Amino acid sequence: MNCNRIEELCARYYDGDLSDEERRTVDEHVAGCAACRQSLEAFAALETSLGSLKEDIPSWKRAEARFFRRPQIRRRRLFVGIVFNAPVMLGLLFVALGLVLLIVGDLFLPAIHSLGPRSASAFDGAMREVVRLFTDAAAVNPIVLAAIYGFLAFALMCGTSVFAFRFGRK
Amino acid sequence: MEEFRLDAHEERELVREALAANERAFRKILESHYTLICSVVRAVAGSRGETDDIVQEVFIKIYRALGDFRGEARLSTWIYRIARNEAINAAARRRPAMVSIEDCEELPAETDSPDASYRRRATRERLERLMERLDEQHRTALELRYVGEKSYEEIAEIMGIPLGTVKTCIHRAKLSLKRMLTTEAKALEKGPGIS
Repeated sequence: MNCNRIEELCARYYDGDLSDEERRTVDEHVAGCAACRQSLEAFAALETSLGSLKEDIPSWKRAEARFFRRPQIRRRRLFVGIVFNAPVMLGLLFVALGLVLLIVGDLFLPAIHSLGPRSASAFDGAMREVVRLFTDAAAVNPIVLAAIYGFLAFALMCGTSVFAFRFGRK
Repeated sequence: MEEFRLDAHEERELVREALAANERAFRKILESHYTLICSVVRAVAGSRGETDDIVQEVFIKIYRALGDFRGEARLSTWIYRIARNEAINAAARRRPAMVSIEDCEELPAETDSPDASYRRRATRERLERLMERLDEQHRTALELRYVGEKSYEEIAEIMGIPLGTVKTCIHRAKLSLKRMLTTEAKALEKGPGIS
């Protein structure tokens, strides 16, 4: 086999890509040919150098930190942190529950009445009392009622935001 | 850095989670394909200087386009295409700023310094410069093999070419590099002033 063909086989020698016969041919040839032996040594050195190329790639930690520091990524994380957190989800659940009661609340009345006349009258009395309190408050001073409602809503928002800033980023 | 080997189902799940604003899932996608991205960027745009910046642009592109991933190809193939396109664009934009191949002569020879790490770095830089003379496909296959540490089969899948072509690319690339290195070494032996 000529030296050019051996050189081609040498290029595959360190890949484990040669058949046993090809490998034997290379081994036998280089034992008696100084030029091809040097060639095989050069491929071994090249293999080492190619293996060291990965030392040159930028560190993942640095690339990761740089990417997740970007404003457009942080904005989205902040949004996700503020919206998708436990207090907001709990609040939404209560709002949804309130809406359900408002729309189909009458359906529950027969169930309450079925518990007995005493339960029904206690429930009706409590509901009437709540409605009366709100109506009176609104009648006396609607601004006070609006202020109380506004304060409660503001407190809820503040609490949610604090929670989101503290835990949402994790 | 962790290297994950994900199957097609895990990949689709991970993409679905990332699209549902799960930052951990998106981070995992980037981390598991990080060496692939670096390999492709280095192969297409050159390995000097700006790999960091282009990798960041690839991350942003993946972040914005993840919703378009249909799962028809493997995630690695999809990311390979994004990285390659981004690297081509970046190389076209920034080519004038790159160092020319002629600067090769300014590299210190291996015998210039007794410091082993310095010599190793010099050898690596010389090799990288010579790699820039290779065909892009050969260079990419070589980078994926040695930087990305991918198997021949994985490279074939990522690049969308037959397994035989991958092997030919890598062997020809190594043959060319070895010849270039030998020629360069002979030129250095002859001393300065002789090119």
